[in-house]
Amino acid sequence: MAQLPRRPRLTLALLGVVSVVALSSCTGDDPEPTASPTGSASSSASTAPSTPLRDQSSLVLGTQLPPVAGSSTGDVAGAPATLNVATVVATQGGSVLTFWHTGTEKMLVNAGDLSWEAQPVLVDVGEQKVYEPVTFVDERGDTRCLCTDAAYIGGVPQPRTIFFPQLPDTVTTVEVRQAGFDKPISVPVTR
Amino acid sequence: MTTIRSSLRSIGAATAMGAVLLVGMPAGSSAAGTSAADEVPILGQAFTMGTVQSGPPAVVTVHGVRRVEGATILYWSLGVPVDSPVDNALSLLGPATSSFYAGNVGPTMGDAALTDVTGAQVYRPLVTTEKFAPCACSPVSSLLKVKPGQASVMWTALAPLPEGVTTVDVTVAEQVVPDVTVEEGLLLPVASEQEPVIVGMGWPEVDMNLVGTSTPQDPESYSLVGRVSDLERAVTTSQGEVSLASDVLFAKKSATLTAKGVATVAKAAAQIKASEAGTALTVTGHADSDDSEDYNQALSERRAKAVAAALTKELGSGYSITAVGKGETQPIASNATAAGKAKNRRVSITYTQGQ
Repeated sequence: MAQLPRRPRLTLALLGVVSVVALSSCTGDDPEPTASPTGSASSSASTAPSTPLRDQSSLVLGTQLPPVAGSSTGDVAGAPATLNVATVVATQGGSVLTFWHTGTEKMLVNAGDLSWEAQPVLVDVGEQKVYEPVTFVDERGDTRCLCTDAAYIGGVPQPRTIFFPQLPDTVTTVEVRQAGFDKPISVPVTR
Repeated sequence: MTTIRSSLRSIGAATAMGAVLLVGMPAGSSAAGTSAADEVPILGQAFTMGTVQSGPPAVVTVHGVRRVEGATILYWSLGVPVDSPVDNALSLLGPATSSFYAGNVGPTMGDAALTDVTGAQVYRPLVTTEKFAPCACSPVSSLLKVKPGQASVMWTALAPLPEGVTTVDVTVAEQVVPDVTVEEGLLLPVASEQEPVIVGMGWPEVDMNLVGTSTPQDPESYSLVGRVSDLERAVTTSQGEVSLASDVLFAKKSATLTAKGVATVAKAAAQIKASEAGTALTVTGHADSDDSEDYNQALSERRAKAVAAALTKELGSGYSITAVGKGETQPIASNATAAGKAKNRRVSITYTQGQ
């Protein structure tokens, strides 16, 4: 894997969110059960909160699917589909693509992690380089990529993520290309 | 009714957290006055659908990657949107993720894994010796009782990370959540209600007895390979290797380099020279699984020798080049598809960095 010095960054994309949201709440009518500060924590565990505990599910559920940055029509696994690309995020030592396929047929497209050669790639047009999904060889000898395994096309978007090698700092835009989809999708790289 | 006001501010390095949501402050309080103890860390998020075919996607949130004795504990939550049609949060985890609870701990992609990009390793979950505990993780029942509008926190024990690893990419629920800071110790307080553990109500109780009797898998991590190629996919570079596509080098069933093949070898030789990677090279021929094993073995050997000869010509003296053939025994992609077979038909050149 390419290795570059790590650097702090603020990324407000869905993936790689690195931010601090300070939230202030008024009094509510949620139940406030008492914490049970026992258990098996190590001596270095985080300290217990001083305020009552309450259901904060809404905080994590408030996040939104990122908008589509670009699309291309074609077919995937033999079915007509649209490739929708949301984000390409440069991370510390890699890149993460978030995308999904949509289509009129309700069909499970699987074997994603076992077919890295069929997954989308990132293309640095300027340097004419193609970045392919990062893989590893599992204990059975199968080559797998760090890719979402399965998702349905048809119906609501079913997001997929793929981990790629690190893009150079100078790359600000990449094309996302996938076999079966003729038109490359140009998207900015979020850093 | 609870109302929440939010604002964005920076955070000092002393917190050692990439992202946190600060909760539970009384109205009118300033963010600066909030105790760090009141934080619900949100270190990254993604969406997942699993086997659900309609409705909004579930929200995957990473709350912590924490070092403990003999393990690394991942805290993550699965949030079921308010308008989700599911009556069982487990449906929102996919085929690979479900295998986690069936004992087929991975990773396959859906199982939890921690990627150390610097070390190019992906660390796997621990395995247990307990008959009824297929993984060192939260019980599956912690998901069965989650209702729409709720997010349930779970834990998973993975292999201990090396000392120097401070940031990992988390793979969970078939999604990659990058750049998560590694911290020390378990999260507190432990929630009084454990099935499910709703976000904000405390944290799941990690069964340290189970963790203590669990062991890393063999191997505890897999080595990652990142490939970058030219537009034609003729020359692909990865760690310590330059791989040449046989379809570009040779005609079908031939071991004689085409004119384009000669040019491609020259391009690879230029890369090897420029990288100053080393002078001891091994050229290895590989085939797909078409034809017989014997035929593929012989073809791969002849192709390796052809490339080695061309490389010798390009590189000149001072290089030690060995040619071997591996036939169809070392595929890097599926032989069930044309695209996979094309990847497997290759001649790789390996060397030792800095030699």
